[in-house]
Amino acid sequence: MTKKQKLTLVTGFVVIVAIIACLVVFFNNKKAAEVTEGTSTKEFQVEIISERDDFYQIEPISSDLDYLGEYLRSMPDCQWSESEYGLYITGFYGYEEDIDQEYWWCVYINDTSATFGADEIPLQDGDKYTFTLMQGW
Amino acid sequence: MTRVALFSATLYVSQVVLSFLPNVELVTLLIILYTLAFGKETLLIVTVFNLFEGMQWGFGLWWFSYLYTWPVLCLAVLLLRKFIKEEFTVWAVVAGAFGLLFGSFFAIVYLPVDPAYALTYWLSGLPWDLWHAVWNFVLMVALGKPLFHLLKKVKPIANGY
Repeated sequence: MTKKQKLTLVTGFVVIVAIIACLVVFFNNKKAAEVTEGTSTKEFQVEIISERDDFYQIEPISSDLDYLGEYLRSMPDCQWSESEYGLYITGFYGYEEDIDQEYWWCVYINDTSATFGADEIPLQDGDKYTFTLMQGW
Repeated sequence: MTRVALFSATLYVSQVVLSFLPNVELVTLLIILYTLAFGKETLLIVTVFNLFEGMQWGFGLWWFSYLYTWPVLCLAVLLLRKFIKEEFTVWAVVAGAFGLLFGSFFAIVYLPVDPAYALTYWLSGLPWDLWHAVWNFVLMVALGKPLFHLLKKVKPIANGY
């Protein structure tokens, strides 16, 4: 392989990595901008499901908070801890995760798995936030 | 057999020692170098390594991804080694590309269960895949050549000569 070919290959790789990095930054900034725009009261639903505990609850919520993480911190029946990635949900109404049995709380937004942690999920009017106790990693 | 035990243990130790650094690992680098030095035998090394990983971290869903992720890297190196030979700058690109695809390999497991979840899983991990790619590239550029020459020296000893 010639030096020129190697250089082209490395440059191509660097360009691909840079493009993906730019896209990641762009979409993160776009999401942040969407959040800062609205500070009005939001009407949304919070659904909690634990098949293990035979528990189901859905309730309408009205809040001025901007992020789901902020709302969960203010929710007395949510158990959580701080982690290096922000708020980490450990339970609801005393129905706790169980690491040994591989039980953990999964977050869905309008029935689609969340791509970010609760601290980065903006509260939006009409959205449904579902917390489901899952088993298995 | 000694060689398989020795090098799978080295892989495992390198993974555990660097586990506190997210997505910075020597496993990709070592598997590429092992495959260059020992060929198909690396598939055995990787199999034993996967077993160690399961014993260390638990046999979760992620572990089933390991069962094909690392062998895929071995097979890719086996296919490419005729063309790339000992060009470690090019192997650095291969290691980087593997880092970039790492999350997608793991997302495959979730595809039959929930394709939407698989997609979100992959996309949410993309920033970490980038980080993984950059470190794989840097580590191969920095350590690929010297470690490979060291492996070539060790090979006769490990063979029992």
